Amino acid sequence: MKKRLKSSKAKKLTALLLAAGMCVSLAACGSGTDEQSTQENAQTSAASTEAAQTQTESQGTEAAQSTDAASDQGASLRIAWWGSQERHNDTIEALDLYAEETGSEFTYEYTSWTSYFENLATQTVGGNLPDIIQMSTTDIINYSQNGQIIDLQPYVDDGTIDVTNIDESSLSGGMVNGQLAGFTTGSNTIAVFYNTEIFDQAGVAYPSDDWTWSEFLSTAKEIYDATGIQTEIPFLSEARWAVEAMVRSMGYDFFSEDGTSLPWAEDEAVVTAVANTIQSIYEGVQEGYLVDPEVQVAWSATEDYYISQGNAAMSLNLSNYYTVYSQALGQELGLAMVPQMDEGTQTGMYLNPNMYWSISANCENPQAAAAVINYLINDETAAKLIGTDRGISLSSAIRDMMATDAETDVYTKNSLEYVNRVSAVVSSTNPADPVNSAELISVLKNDYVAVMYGEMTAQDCVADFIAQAASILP
Amino acid sequence: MEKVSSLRTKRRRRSGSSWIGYLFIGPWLICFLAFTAIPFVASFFLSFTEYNMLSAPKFIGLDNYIEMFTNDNLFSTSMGVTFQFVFVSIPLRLIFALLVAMILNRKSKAVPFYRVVYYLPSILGGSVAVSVMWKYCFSKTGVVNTFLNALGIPSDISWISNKDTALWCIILLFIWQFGSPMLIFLSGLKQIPQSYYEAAVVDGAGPVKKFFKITLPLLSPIIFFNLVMQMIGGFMVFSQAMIITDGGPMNRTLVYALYLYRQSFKYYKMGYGCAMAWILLVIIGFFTALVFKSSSAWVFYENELFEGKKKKKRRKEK
Repeated sequence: MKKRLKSSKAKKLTALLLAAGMCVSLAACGSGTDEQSTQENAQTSAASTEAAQTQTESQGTEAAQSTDAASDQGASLRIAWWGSQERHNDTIEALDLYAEETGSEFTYEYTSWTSYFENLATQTVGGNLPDIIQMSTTDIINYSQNGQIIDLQPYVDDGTIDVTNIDESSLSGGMVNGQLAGFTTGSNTIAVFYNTEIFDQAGVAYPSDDWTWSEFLSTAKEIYDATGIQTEIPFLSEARWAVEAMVRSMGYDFFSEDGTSLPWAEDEAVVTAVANTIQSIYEGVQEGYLVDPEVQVAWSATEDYYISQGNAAMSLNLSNYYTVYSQALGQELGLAMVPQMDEGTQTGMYLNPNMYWSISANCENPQAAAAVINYLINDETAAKLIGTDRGISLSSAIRDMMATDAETDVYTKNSLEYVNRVSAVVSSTNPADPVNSAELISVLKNDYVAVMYGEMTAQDCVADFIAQAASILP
Repeated sequence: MEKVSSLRTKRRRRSGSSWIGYLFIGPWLICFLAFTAIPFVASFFLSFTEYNMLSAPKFIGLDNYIEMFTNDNLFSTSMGVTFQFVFVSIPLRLIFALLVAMILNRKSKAVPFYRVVYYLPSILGGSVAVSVMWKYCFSKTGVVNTFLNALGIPSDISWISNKDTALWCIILLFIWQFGSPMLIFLSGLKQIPQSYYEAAVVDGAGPVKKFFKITLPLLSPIIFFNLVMQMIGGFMVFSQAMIITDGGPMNRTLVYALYLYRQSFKYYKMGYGCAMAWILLVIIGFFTALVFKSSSAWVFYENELFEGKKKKKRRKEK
């Protein structure tokens, strides 16, 4: 009796195990098809998704076999970036070409900006960083100081990354504590976009590159009085760009070289001048010739911006947005430099590294990763595909190629010409931002918005920013 | 603890094959350990460290907690916003859920259909898409203003970026997702015996009296349960505030969880974020305890009634 019971129990058990096994295999099938469908979605849907999407491109069995050899040829690399759907498509297309040529194999890990650094930090904790990482100017210092990304200088020295066409000084933007932590993907700068049609209609002269803030405001007012068309509030979404241009115009850097203080905060004249300029911008809001901050603060998509709808005379922006806004408007916008301070001695303009390519410390084949960076920086085909999306190329050869190439659209040519104009008047590229700068810059952004809302005085805004800097910077 | 282990051995002796039980709860158990228990313990230890996630944590004692209460304006700002959110949205959500539940608590063929329709927002509401939709509905050129203007009420403010209305947009979205408390209320309402109402009608009670004298007291355990659950959820509100306003304008919608997230992931201060999480736990614990303590005064269990009668009976017998 007992024996039979046991055997029936055993039968039940095997049945159970079999069922469990089936469940597992079914689940595996399910997730497999899921992955496939997300892949397809990633390629077809134009809307960028919040969640990270991972896509593996294997280049046929031949290439897959050759990955076993740890040579430069046929390396297997993970590469991560953030951006828009267009950037995803263009970058994948460029890298697929490279993979075909060299027999490499790439795993692409691309997300939107919002979740990008959250993912990277999590991967760092798991010791699982991608091999090649697109880095931002605010975040690179954290990764470099903690040894998560490597010095690229050896690969520049041995010629893996070719710098023959690149100006030495423009590379300094990727230097952190004497190491080349990131290779600048392209330069970027601040600009005033202006709608030439609206200027013509109002009968107002186009801005010159050496105009001042009070000229900017009076121009905006003149156009508003003539046409009823407003101008966007300067850099409402990132006040840092406005304030940095102001202090630079008076001869100071925004952050000190060691990243522990604001060098201009000591100079009473500069602090007062900055506060006065912010105050005069607020007066523009009150008088109504600048856009209502409650409206502007809610903008996020390209189509939201008045400048891209033809509803604003001027907009202050980063130069790499020029193409997008012009395309949305369907007409060439004018480009002028950001105004100087009325009391200023020089232009406030500067070149900024737009972003970087970095190689993580746990990359097993940094040589191959450096070769990929070289391809993205120096290859003409890659440059044509990616365009100026990651900033204006550092390589003079690529810039010349794009300026003369018949296929280059007029918007790209205009922004190339603008960046050339800017680099003629400024000498150096901004270094990477110091530790804790992200938190500090968000303080400035909030206070600046509060001034525009009429909730805070311009004096308090600048004073609060300086006070917070003392406690937030290391 | 001892009691538990002795229970366990007893059970093992009885069946001899308790591992099958563990096999069945295995998937849950693994997930529980990996995604709840271990992070829970780890965050406690990390709250006493300076940890940027990119290098090893550094022990700094109570510094994170001291910093929070002495040198962080946004900590108190976010706390204020969260309290405002919780104390406004939770009562409104419960009232709304109860109202709809009472409307649906009748015998009609259409009721199941409406039940699904009213439950939909709580399925959709947590999703990113609805938050994005909300953002556009309440913008200056959004459907809300269009609707108001059509009704003859002139309105051209941008609801989500006006400093006085921004938080209300998020509160409204939260109230709109009243589905799950509504379903719980509905099942609670169905358990109230009809005979009580019939007796009340015979005694000449109107609908208001019936509601306050019968429905509310008999529903109080359900209200209690909903209140506790919703309050916990309310303190942890995050995604709506992040997507619709991103804490703005001027931190008017910077809820606690959003600030915690920024500190942890945007500013590389995971240790500080963990400390903030523990403070939130203490706050939620405090309010939950408060509700529990007060419950003896207002929560009414039916079995109390019978126990009371029994006691009386016993007393009489004596």
